[in-house]
Amino acid sequence: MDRSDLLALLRLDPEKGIEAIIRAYGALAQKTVRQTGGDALCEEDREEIVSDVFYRVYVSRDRLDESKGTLASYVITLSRRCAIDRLRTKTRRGGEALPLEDAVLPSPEDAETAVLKKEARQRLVSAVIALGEPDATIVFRRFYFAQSYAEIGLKLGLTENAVTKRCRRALEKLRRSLREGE
Amino acid sequence: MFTENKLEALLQSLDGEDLETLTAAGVDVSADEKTTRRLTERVLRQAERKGEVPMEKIQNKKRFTAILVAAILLVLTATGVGAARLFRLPLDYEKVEEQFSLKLSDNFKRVVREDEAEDGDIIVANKTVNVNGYTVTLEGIIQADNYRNVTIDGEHLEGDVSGTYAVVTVTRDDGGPIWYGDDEKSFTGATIGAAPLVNGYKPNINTYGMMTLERETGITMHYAEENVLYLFVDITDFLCFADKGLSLAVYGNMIYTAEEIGLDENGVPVFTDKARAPLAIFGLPVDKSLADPARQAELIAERPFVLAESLPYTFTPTD
Repeated sequence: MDRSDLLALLRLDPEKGIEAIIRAYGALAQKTVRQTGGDALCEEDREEIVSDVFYRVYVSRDRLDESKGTLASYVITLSRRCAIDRLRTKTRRGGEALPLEDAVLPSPEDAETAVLKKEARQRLVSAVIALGEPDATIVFRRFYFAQSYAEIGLKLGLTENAVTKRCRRALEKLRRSLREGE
Repeated sequence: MFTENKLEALLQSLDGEDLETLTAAGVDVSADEKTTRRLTERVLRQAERKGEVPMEKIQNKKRFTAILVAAILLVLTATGVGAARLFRLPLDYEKVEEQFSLKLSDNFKRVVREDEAEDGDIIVANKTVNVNGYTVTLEGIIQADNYRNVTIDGEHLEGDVSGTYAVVTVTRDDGGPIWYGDDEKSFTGATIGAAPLVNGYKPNINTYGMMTLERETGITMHYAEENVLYLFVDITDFLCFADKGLSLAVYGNMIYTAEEIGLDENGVPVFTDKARAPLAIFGLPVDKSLADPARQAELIAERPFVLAESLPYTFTPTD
């Protein structure tokens, strides 16, 4: 299903729509919450937050404005916000002081990459796409979602060994491709 | 120096728009089916608690799924499209595993592994794929001769069943039950299907047209035992296309739409990005000498491609 159809489906048939949206963006929300909350959030917290993110998508389906950004951007923003809210709540409840800044604020390296110009990002996206499938998915899942080779293999129907080899080759290709583009 | 850490940092800088570009280009960022189901159920329950969705709807979901499946089957059967008719193996047989190993060899000819095959043998593949939380194995191909006591929906099928079957097993990686229905042995809870495909032909032809309608079989038989789902897929009438290559699609729906399976540049069937629950497409190791071009032409000329007009693909062999 085309991503642009997801919101239409959500409005037309909320149950099927939210399932399709969770399938499309669930991993993204999980990753964002994990990254934002760090170790300060336990597994159950993270699951609740992700569920909360999609609950909010579900109930605000008629108010979502596609012209103001992509659904992926909305899910990322909402995931960050929900994770931060949860961290704040935990702090207020008088537990141990949580390393909120460490968990939420970008690291110096993140800050450096955050200013990566749009053209550079587009070059990276093009280079990843140019890897072709399944290598593009392997690289993305490995270095964006931080999934293990075994997890990726399970998802793509490949052996762990095959994923490892393909990833190594793809990385080299990506390295060359980005170097040439500089 | 372009290191893995650097790449990781670069990728983290991508925004939502970049991610949409990647997914539009076919990069798979989707969640696995188990996570999707778990989160969906959780969200809907949350919505129900807060008065956003009627509870009755959730409770009826499983029942509805079973009814939907039954309805699809009824429609397909009534319209003469035998492809999705499901048979159950008889419960009075011993475990199906034993049927694989053909200890009950009266009705089955044993197949042999590829490296042991001699002329005339039908061979096994034993290929395994782990995908979306399932382990799917093409166990092999068996020849059933005069297979008795087959039941359909609990009703005894008169006569014997003979044919060539691709045998697939499916298990959940978390060890959970493979059926979603109440009755472990009932197909109504199954959400996994399989279809043989002729390489180079569009999938609607494969699924709906090429299946022979006069055969009592030509279908998938399901059976579950100890959380293992066994699929016996009749490929008898596909054997005449052995020279073109045969594939077997296994998917997490009872039936797929034609747009979910396409062909790669070599004409080999592949799942498209529209596939709702792709599991695996296996190449079937059939003996090319079984090809029968005359029979192919006959089948193509005679079969009523009943659903071809209503599906996106038309009858367009690539070779």
